[in-house]
Amino acid sequence: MKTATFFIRTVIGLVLISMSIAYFFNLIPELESTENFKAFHVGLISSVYLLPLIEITIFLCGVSYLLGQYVVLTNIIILPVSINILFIDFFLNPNGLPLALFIFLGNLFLIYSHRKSYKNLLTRKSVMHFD
Amino acid sequence: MKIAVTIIRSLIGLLLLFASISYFFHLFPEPSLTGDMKTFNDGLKASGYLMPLVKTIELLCGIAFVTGKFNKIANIVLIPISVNIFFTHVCLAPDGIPAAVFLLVGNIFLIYSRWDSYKGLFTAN
Repeated sequence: MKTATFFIRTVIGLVLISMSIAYFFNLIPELESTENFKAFHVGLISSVYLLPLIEITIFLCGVSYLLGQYVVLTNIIILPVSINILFIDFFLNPNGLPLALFIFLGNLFLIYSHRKSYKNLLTRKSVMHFD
Repeated sequence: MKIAVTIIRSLIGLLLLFASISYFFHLFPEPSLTGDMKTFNDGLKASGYLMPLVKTIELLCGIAFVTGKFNKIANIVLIPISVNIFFTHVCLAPDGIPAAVFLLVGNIFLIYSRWDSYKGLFTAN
């Protein structure tokens, strides 16, 4: 179990880092894509903030996975990103689906392997910080 | 302090319910958008899944906040959405900044009010 966690964590970390580096240095070739995917991509670019925010998040999460530091926090920060990568590839870009599935399932597996740390969030009772 | 938490929780819950229900039932005519905001909105529509996903999450979080159940997990589920609402309004639609700031700051405040439950997430190893 520990070996599997380490392996998946490291591979996802490398994938995330290479994705963000490819974005920041413009290494991605123009994809032949469907009309909807293009419209979506143009929309993201016109929002100004979204792609840089995502890529910075991905880079930091990749570094965290690679070093094995703050993995518990990184797991839930990357979850919205991996859900959206999965949906985008499912609906608009089926070529990328295997990689997206790997990231998403790997993310779920890492959450499962640290499930003890998330228990607090699902309990009914909680202590108010100021009491 | 408990009263402040309850008030902010309920207000955010109502805001989210209002936003999601008015989306699902088309209560308001679509505002005419211009420039980058229109391109962005068209892009989101072209993705097919994104707006329904966001509005479903808003609805569930709204219900959670109004009823006061499952708030710890709702806070975390909501934070990516409130960050994106904030940035969208800052970059593209300055009219909505007050509501967006209220949502983001309120969300962070609610997380802070239960900080003891989130401490475990910030362990280094």
